[in-house]
Amino acid sequence: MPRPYSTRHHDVVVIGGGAAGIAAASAAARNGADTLLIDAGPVMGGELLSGIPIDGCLNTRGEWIVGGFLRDLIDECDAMGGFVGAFFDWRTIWVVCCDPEMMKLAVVNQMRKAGVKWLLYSFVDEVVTDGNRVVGVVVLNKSGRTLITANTFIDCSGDGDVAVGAGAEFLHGDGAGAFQPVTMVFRMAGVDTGRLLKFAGEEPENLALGENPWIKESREECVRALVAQGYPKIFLRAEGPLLSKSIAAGELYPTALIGVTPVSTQRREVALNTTRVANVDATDTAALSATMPALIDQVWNCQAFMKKRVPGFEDAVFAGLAPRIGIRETRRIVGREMLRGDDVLAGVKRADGIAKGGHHVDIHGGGTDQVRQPIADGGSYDIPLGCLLPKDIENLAIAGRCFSADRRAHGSARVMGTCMAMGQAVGTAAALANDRNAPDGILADIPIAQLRTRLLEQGAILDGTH
Amino acid sequence: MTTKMSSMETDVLVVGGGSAGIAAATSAARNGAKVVLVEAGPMLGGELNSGIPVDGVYTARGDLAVGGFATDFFDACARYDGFIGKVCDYRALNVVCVDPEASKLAAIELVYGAGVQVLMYTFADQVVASADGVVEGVIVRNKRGRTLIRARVVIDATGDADIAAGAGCETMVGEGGDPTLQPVSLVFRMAGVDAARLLAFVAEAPENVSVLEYPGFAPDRAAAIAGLVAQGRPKVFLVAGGPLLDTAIAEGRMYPTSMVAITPISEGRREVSVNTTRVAGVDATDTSQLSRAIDDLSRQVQTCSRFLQTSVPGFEDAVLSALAPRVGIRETRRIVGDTVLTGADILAGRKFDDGIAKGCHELDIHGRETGHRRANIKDGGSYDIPYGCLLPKATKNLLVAGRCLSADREAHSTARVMGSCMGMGQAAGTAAAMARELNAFEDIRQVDVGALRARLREQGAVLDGIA
Repeated sequence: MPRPYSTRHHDVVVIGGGAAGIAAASAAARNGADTLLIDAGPVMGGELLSGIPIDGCLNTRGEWIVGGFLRDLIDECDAMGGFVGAFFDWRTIWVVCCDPEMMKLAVVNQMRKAGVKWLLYSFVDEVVTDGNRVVGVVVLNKSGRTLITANTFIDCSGDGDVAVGAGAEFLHGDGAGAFQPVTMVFRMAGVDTGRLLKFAGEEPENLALGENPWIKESREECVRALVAQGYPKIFLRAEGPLLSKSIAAGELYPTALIGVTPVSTQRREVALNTTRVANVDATDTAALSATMPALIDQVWNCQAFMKKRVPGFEDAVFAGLAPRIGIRETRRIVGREMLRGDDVLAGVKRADGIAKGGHHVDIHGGGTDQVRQPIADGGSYDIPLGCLLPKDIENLAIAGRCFSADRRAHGSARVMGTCMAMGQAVGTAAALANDRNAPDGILADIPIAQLRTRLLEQGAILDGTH
Repeated sequence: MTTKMSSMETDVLVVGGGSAGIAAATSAARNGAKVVLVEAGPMLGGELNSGIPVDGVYTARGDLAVGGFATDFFDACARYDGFIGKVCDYRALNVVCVDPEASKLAAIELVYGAGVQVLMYTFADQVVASADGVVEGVIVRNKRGRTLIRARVVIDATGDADIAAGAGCETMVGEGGDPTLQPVSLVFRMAGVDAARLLAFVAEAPENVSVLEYPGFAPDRAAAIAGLVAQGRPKVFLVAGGPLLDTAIAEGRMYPTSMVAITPISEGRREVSVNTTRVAGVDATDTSQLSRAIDDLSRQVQTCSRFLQTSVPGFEDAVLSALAPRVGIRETRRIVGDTVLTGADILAGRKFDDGIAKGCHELDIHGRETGHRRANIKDGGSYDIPYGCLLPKATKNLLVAGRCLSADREAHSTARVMGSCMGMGQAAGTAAAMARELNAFEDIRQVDVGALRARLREQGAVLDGIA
């Protein structure tokens, strides 16, 4: 006989435990809501555990544009020795570098402190709707099926799974089958930063530098500043002689870049962001699974290339693979508003902004192809709540890369710093929507001024910063 | 609205991508079967990626007890610079040490390279079984929706006997009506360890280290300690009962645990894994309980890494370098099969005519806090795992491989380790492929065990010739 469904109820249920989801759950719980965070995998943190740096925390000028939960998480990492620092790539962005292994612990610590309940290894199977409301989600795991009801749901699945399940309209890649590539990030330890930076200083033609008009320094000055920064934070570019020759000779697969970022000073360890298989629809599980052999071939190819060709890596060793394939782009939910690429590039500010983005429009293609467009004036743009509310579903919010945006705006806002800002905003909004006499969990009628005030009180950055 | 379900058909369906599952899928495909491997997570390799050593490959006497796929796996690890090899703990075991990052690459290379179709991120939802014990297929769920995967033979490598339980098979938990399970653990790693200093400490304060539980390693404790030190590897078993750990536990600098087991995983990174954290009373098939466990376990990781840095020579400059990808699970459900391997069988090193794999790990039942039952296999040798331990009663085309084998709790506590799991996996996968060669396949028991054993031997498995 089939097992009966079990049931449970919470004020707020967050689906997806990546950067957006942990921020949303923490904010909801800290603001008083009984909050459950659900993830399909065995740990929380998503791409924060991959080794890639946290982009979108500072604008090109080096001003912090995301605070609140992000800063708490960084402080937690720092207390455990897992925060390397914030660095300028002297190309176009500032990145925040943490140790992805300490991050696993930091995330658990932060969720515990916020009072979040969590349910791991759990797949959201069905979405139960009633008119324009989400009533519940049916979750599948080894214990069977559970109908989890809530007043408010927050979809941080990255793919908009809950919103799509509830019937929300969505956009998919470029609409014609193109998706930014999936990537397997890997790490190498025992890197000699001094040698690497000496090489950077001597052969700067291999580096991506000064791609942002806000950077007034000459290429030579950029190189000097990068070397002076003293950390292994460099971008080897496809157009440089080292990569172009190696790609032409078949020694390295075609790639736009090899992004090197520090993850641990003590282990002299860096993460490398370079592998790629383009135009895979990552919501097609068979297709996503099938990319694995190509990605690990590239990983092994690249680590050998680094050891052989890149000074500072002579004695470095392979140190790890990200826990899973990294995904840049799948579905975008159509919300009450849609963030536009033009607004992003112009750095448009909004009186009703509840999160900020500042990463460049960054659309990776196949092989060596990549679109990189800077935000005006090295500044930031605002994201309104309407971009995080699916049209016509009153008690569901979205945060993270599946938010409502055109493809160019998505190319900027998909990064983890922005995802955390969005998550904190909707988590806080959800708590406010539950802090009523008869909580209905409806998000659209929350007074934006009240939400902004609460976010500012809790460290979010919403104003200014160019 | 009626929803649509897709379907696919295959010769062999393997559910679970841990050590047993990757061995089963690879072996089935190498023997000519069309194979689909379903894994709920984002990676292949299971606990091979955790950092704990591969137990159960070599007997305490030092004989190779599992070859075949396991050897191929270790060779692949070596190609990815991630193979240290056989290390003796001078306590009770010869373990095989691999780099748990290289193991990910090795698992992917072998499984995909054999032509297996892999579905990761895919949850086995329901089992479709007939009243007469035929598993027609399994309905899986992933982001693409639901798919019925029909297969001639299904191999349950879930660790938890999910498919067998879903098919209505009888299962066992715990022993004698006591459902207590071994604790779950979160393995962690530390890099920058000074192995020479650690071993000098072992030589100076050997009372903290467990050695010579198997008497064959050395004539006396002093000689065992000398052997461990001379081996030069950071393979050290700090034990409750020794002053170092007991004092730390008494002073609250450590949580109560039976051991801090240190194992080398990378020479280049001077990195070890540490197996020590534990939360008892968790039924890992209860997802809520398992989800909560990471809270206490992650605190224990922080506690123990500080303890090592402050109290154990060789770790002064070491840093916490990684957590296992997931909480490790020792024990859940076991099937009731045609044969039930018993504690008496394993302790006596019993051999079976229908043995299809070998086990050689000690009897090893972790308890709550400092509790831990350990006993040697007779003469430091091996026992056979009979084919019937992989065959759930009253089923026709279902095999299990891995820790959900048919065994009592004592036998399970040794056969649960990864070496034995790979041996069982290779046997199950090979048997499943051989079922294709039958004229009229009705029951996996039609596969001639003698022919299966011959095929396994041809393909490198160790089935006989050792104590």
